[in-house]
Order: sequence, then structure tokens, then C-alpha cells
Amino acid sequence: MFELLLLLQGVVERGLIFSFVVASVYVASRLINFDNLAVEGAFGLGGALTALLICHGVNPWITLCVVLLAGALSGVLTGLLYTKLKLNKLMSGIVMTTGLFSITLKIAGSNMVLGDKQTIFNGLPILFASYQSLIILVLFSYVLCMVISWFLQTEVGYLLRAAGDTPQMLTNIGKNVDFYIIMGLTISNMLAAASGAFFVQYSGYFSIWGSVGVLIVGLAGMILAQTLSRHFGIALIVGSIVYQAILSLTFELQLDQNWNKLITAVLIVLLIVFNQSLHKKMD
Amino acid sequence: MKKNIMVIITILLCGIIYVAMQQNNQQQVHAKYTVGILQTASHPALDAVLQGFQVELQKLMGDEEIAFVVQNAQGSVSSAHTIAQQFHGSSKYDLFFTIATPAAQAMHAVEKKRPIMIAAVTDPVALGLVYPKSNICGVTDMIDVPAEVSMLHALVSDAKNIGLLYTVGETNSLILIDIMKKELIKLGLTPVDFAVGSEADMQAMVELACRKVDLLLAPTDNVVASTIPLITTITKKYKKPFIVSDNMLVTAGALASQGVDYKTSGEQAAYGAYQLLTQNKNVYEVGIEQTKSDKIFINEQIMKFLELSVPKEFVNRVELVS
Repeated sequence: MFELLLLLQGVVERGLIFSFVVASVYVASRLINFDNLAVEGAFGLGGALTALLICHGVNPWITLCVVLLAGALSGVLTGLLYTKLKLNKLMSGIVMTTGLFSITLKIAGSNMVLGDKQTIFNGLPILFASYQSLIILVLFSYVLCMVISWFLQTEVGYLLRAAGDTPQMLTNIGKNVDFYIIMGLTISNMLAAASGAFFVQYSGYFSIWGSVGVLIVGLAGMILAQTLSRHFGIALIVGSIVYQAILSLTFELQLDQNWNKLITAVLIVLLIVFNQSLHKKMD
Repeated sequence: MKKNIMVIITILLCGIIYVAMQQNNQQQVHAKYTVGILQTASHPALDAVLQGFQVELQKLMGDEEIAFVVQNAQGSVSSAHTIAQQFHGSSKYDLFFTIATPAAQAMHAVEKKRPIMIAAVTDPVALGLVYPKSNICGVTDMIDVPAEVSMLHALVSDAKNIGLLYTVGETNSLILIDIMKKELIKLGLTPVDFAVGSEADMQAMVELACRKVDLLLAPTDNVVASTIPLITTITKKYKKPFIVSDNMLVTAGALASQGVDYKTSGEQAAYGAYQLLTQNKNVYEVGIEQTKSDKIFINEQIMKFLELSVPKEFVNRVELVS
């Protein structure tokens, strides 16, 4: 029984870390209707910067702030590629991820080990030693959820959503659609970078290949979340955890590992079809 | 809406119950030892390590039954973590065997007590895996670079400009490339970098390299290993010798190699694991060792095609393959 608890703890922790990617994908694809492929790049960038700064003894909280800024910057750039240079949506994301790969390599090399440096996960009193990461991650994701939910209720939040749904309306009331698209991407990339930062601190090292497949994790988590709710909220975190649980299950069942990616692909297709039929009923 | 939540919860509960039952079942399996194996990706070299390890360990154990649980992260670092955590969470494992760097790092991040054998990692010390009181021992795939470079120099004595073919993101390649450059310069040769970002760049890069240099040299690089048929087609077209560091690649059309034999690497790791499991040795006593490699593998057909011959001083160490 203890073993199972340990396993579930791991699932929840990873789920919480990747819930930031899920939120990132949600903000981009659902709010501003922009399929943001720069997520993987921003995730790697966040991880690399975290590794570099922490290895140089920078306070992990300051590091997190720097990472968020860098992520935001990458979002602004993606947005500018789309709005000013008129690249298409997918193209701006791909270009960004490709470019960031080199920058990431320059920042932290292909592999960087944190060793026993202080991270945000080992700052609590020793009392909670084995649940430290869990507690901190729960707090973070909860705060994230609350902040973004609140933001979406503000006037700016409404306008942001309108930029995705009804851009014409924004233009009619004299607002600049491009501004809100860039803002959405900034939030999206910031979240992805934060996720990369958490993942590196959680696992204790940075690897350039760490960001491979992150986008699909975010996508799958979001689609799972949408079977629960179409709105932003706790559902995103639940979706992310459920996806990690499914992944764990496929490993635990000891299926032929070569099928793993197909399982994910089929799962996503099934869920999308299921969601569509569901929403048709509701409409 | 509520229905959906119920459906998801039910499915997950079924999964959890199944896993719990399976864990109980596995505790009743008769195998005396259980080894959890975490492989980074599917790849000929890494598969060879796995095969060498399993076959050799079973051979060493004789009739003693031994259970292998093999998991493959398919190149994803987060999957490697998921698997490592699952291994860590189960008490049935006596030993873990990780193949290649990401797997070793992921396993090391969660498991600090039970022994971890590593293989196909080039420099475990630089990666922070090996330190006093670490629970890691194993076999590195560090090659004898000076020997390889002097072999290259003797075999293709008129080559002056040496193109180095590798991937920018691979730690193991970068470590070897650094040493290779130093050794090449020592012999008065000129190293030229040809680094690719991914498999997609390979064709263009090899063609460029073939036009610019006399000979191509590659470290133990995963992308090179995956694209070897493509590379050798081009080097044949331009009639340039191609030296690799992974012996298995010689049969695929490279000229020669004096590097790692991944199957041997796995077998050496198996011997270490055998010592840990049955002879009460601890990880410090087993330690980290380099893959034994003094043999030179030469592809006979390619050698004839390039009008080269085996230098006399190497005759008794050369193994000709085709």
C-alpha cells in the first residue's frame, strides 16, 4: 500500500508541474485561439535559465522571477512575429522553438546538474522532508489557478478572450487586437517557462532533451480537462494529473513500450470526439 | 458533466486496483532477484547494451531465476522520470540498470539507496552521478581517444583535414569532441567542426563535410548512429573514409572503429551486477570502469573500395568485417 502511495505522489507531483504547461496551452489555444507551438521552446528556456542561475548560487525565488521574465519575453517575440512580421500562427511558434533551442544550448549546454544547490523545493523546514515538493507545487498551482481565474474576470481578461472569439468586436470598440494576442502569448510562454523551471528543480538536472514531447503532455492534459469543464480552473490541474496517471498506468501494465505514443495519440482522438459529442448535446 | 467525472474516476480506480493487485501478484513470483531496467530510447547501440546485459547476467547466475523488468522512456525525459519513480516506489527490485545518460540521471534523481548500475554514460563524474557515498556504479562508454586517433592516422596517412561529425545537444559527443580535437592537433592534423542540430540536418551537413575535408570522424553520437546508412551512402559517393567510435556501425558502411562495443559494455555491467547481487560487494568495490576496447574493426569492402590497407603494426588487433 505504501508503494502505491509513493507512486501516486509521483503522479500528482508531475501532474502539478505539467499543469502549468496545460494552462499555457489552454491560454493560447482556447482564449486567444492561437495554437502556440513555442511552448516547448519556452519550457526548455525556463529550465536552462533555472539550471544556470541556481548553479551560480542565485536565490531560487529570484531565479524564478528571471525565468518568468524570460518566458514572457519569448512570448512577446512570438507575438511580434505573428502580428508585425505576419508569419502564420504555427510558423511563429515553430520558428520560436527552433531558435530557442540554440539559445537554450548556449545558456546551459546540453546537460547541467544542480547538485545539492538550494532550490524552491528544499527550502521548507525538514519536518515535511518527503512532501516538500508536493506541498509547494500544490500551493503554486492553486495560486496560479486563482490568479488567472481572477484575471479573466477583469476587463482586460474579457478583452483578451474577445481577441480570440470575436476580434471584429474588439476592432469595432477601438481596441488593438494585436496587443491582446501578444498579451495572451506572453502569459502562455511565461507559464511554460515556469513549468520548465519547476521540472528542472524537481528533477535536479537540466537536459536539452527535457522539453521533447512537452507540448503533447500539455495538449492531452487540456483535452482531458475539457471533458470536465470548458472554463479555466482547477479542471486543468486535474486533467494534467489524470494524464500523468494514464501514462504511469501504461508503464505499470508493462505493455510493449513502443506502443506508448500511439496510446497517447488514440487517447487524444477519442477524448476530442467524446468532447465534441458532449458539447453538441449541451448546445 | 457529473457523469463524466464519475466515468473518469471509475476508470482511474480500476487502474489503481489493477496495479495494486499486480503488485501483490509479483511479490509471489519465484525469481530470487528482480532487476529494473530503464532504457533511454530505442536505438541499436542501447539495445545491444540491454541484450548483452540480460544474456550475460542470466549466464552468470546459472540456474538461479532472475526477473528483468524492462522499461523504455522512448527518448522522453519526463517519461524516464515517471518510470524511475515507479521503480523507486516498488520494493521488489534489488538492483536498477540504466542505459544512457537521461535514464541514469532520472533514476539517480529519485533512488538514493538501492544500487544503480549504469552503462552507455560517457562521463558520470561530470554529470554528478559519481561522488563519495553515491549509489551508482557501472560501465562508461568513454573511448580510448588517443588510440583511435593514432589508428586513424596510420590507416589513412594522407588525410590532413579531419571533419568531426556530431550533434550539438549530446553531452557524450561534446566531451569526446573536445578530447578528439586536442589529440588531432597533437598529430599535426586540422580538425573541422560539422555539428548538426538534428537528424534532419544530417544529409546537407555530410555533403558539405565530404566536399571540405579528407576524412570524417564521429564520436559515440546517437544521431550519427541513427542516420548511419545515410551518412555512409554519401561518404561512399564522395569516396571519403568515415571513422566511427561505435564498433557496430562498421558493418553499416563506416571504414573503421576503435571504440565502444556496446554489447561488451552490457556484459561488463552484467558482471558488476552479478557481484553486487551475489557476492555481497558494495557499489564502491564494483566502481566505475571503462568499456574494454583494444580491438580495431575495419570494414573490408570499404577498405578495398578506398584502396587502403591494414597497417602492419595493427594486424593482430584488427577484426575484418563486411
